[in-house]
Amino acid sequence: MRWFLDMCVILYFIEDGDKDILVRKSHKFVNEKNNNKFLLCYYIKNENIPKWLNRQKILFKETIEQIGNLDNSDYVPYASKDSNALYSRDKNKIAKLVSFFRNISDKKEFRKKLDNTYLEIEQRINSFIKDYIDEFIIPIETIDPELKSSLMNYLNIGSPIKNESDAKTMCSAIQEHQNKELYVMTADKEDWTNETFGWAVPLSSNLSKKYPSLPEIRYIQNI
Amino acid sequence: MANRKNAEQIKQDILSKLKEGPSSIKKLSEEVESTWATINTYLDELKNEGQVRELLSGSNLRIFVRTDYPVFYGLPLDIEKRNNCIFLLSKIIEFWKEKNDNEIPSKTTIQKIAVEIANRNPQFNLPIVRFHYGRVLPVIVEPTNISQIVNEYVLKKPSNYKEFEKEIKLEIGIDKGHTNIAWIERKKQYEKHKDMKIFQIKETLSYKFYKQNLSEDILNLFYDLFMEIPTKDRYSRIFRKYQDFISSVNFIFSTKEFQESNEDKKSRYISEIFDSFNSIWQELTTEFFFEDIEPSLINEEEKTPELVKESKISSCSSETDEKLNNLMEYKRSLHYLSKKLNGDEKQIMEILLEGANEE
Repeated sequence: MRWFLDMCVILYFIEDGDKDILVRKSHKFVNEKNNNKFLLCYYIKNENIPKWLNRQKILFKETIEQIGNLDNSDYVPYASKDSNALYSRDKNKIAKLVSFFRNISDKKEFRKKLDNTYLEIEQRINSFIKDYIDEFIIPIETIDPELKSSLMNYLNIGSPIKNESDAKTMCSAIQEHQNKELYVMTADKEDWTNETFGWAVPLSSNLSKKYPSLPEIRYIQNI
Repeated sequence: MANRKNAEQIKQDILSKLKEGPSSIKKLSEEVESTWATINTYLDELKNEGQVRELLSGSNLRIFVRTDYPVFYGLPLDIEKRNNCIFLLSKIIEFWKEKNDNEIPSKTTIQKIAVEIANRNPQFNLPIVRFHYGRVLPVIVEPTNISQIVNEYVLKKPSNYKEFEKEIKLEIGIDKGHTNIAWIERKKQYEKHKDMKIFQIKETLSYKFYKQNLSEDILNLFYDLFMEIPTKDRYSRIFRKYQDFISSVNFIFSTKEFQESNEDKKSRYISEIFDSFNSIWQELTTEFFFEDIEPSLINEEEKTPELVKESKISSCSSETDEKLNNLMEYKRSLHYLSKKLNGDEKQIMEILLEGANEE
């Protein structure tokens, strides 16, 4: 089988431990790859992963700044221009990291640990791509703008950046599926649904002529 | 009828006006009362004679400065401050020579003495800036031609010049221990002032590199320096570069190739690391410099300080980017030996990766 991987599958797979069901299931899915093929779209490889990694760097900077100002009552968090790139979920992570720092209390040690973790994440992503991906598909410039804009209409109302990113990834899956059958593997049950695909490519529309067949979506939590 | 000025007179007028600081052709033509074309021609001649240099050249704006203009980067420093700086520095040279059998003090010694005096005496109205080698006054001094600079640029003795002289004598007295050895002068300044820890760490790093002391604590020292880089917006560009730098160093040290290489090969990696580090340092300290000097600059129409800053920072920045990119390229070519994360790092990873399905 040809599996088209959403980025979250990679992020779950690189994590250690077996506490989280999604982490466990991702390990199971990847470790049982056997003769299956894993596909990754160029959009995830060249844009979405670098953007995610860059956001982690901004998140670290903001964390460091907040830690440095723990005793400063005049300090206003998220006042820097950089922090505009952070989502509300990133801010929750920063709050957790700041509270986690209180246990470590040595700023330099904490910063080293952040950096070691970042480097490890970055390298595990690179190794995953190198070791498990069989094929890179759909160069970014070939993503169909008409299909993308139709998908954007039916995605849940969320951040425009996230919707744009999901739409480009979905386009890559749908377009590649026309070349050769594939299955999508994701953990995002909110946006990645067969309904979204169906609404975005309605029957007897121009798009349905271009994309007569839509890939089946499977969820990592269900394997 | 007014007499027409000859070429020499116009050139003298231009040089005289440029004593006040950098200027555009347009402003000079207003002040010297000649046409734009005339001033343009004579400035080119003065440039060929080595008397002026083009500080900035854009399609619409050319700014010139005298070649002997003594302010760092040719910036338009407040005239009274400039005057006081040159007076102080020239007197330090004079008194040093008197006290030490005509020995010429090094530029570093002169500057470090001056900074101590300026720190103790805010009433002297002397600007202090951080630059590549610690705190200095933003004025260039060449001990061998200081009298020319004084003749050209010291318009008047400061009214409290006797206080200046008293302070110099005090500072170069035996108990202050100035040595005229550049690295000792720098070290003393860094150790004396608590807010100069970043310079102290840089000095230690450079010394270790010079001595080829390539022990593991280099990474530790890079981290010490990281702790001192400001996080405010003005420095966010440099902060992020340093993040990439330290991540690349951490990566290189954790690769199979580095760990298995002999001392010679290791020292080549370290050389490249230091090359990048020095570029980031130049960029950081250039930013320090502009932050500190801004309040002492003359506001003028042409916005020379902003343009000079833009040009200097942009050239530093592209050099850093190029070196950093080369260093980061190793992430593609070397083989990383995955580390076992400790409990804290695992927890950090868990926090970072939670909610991955929303990505």
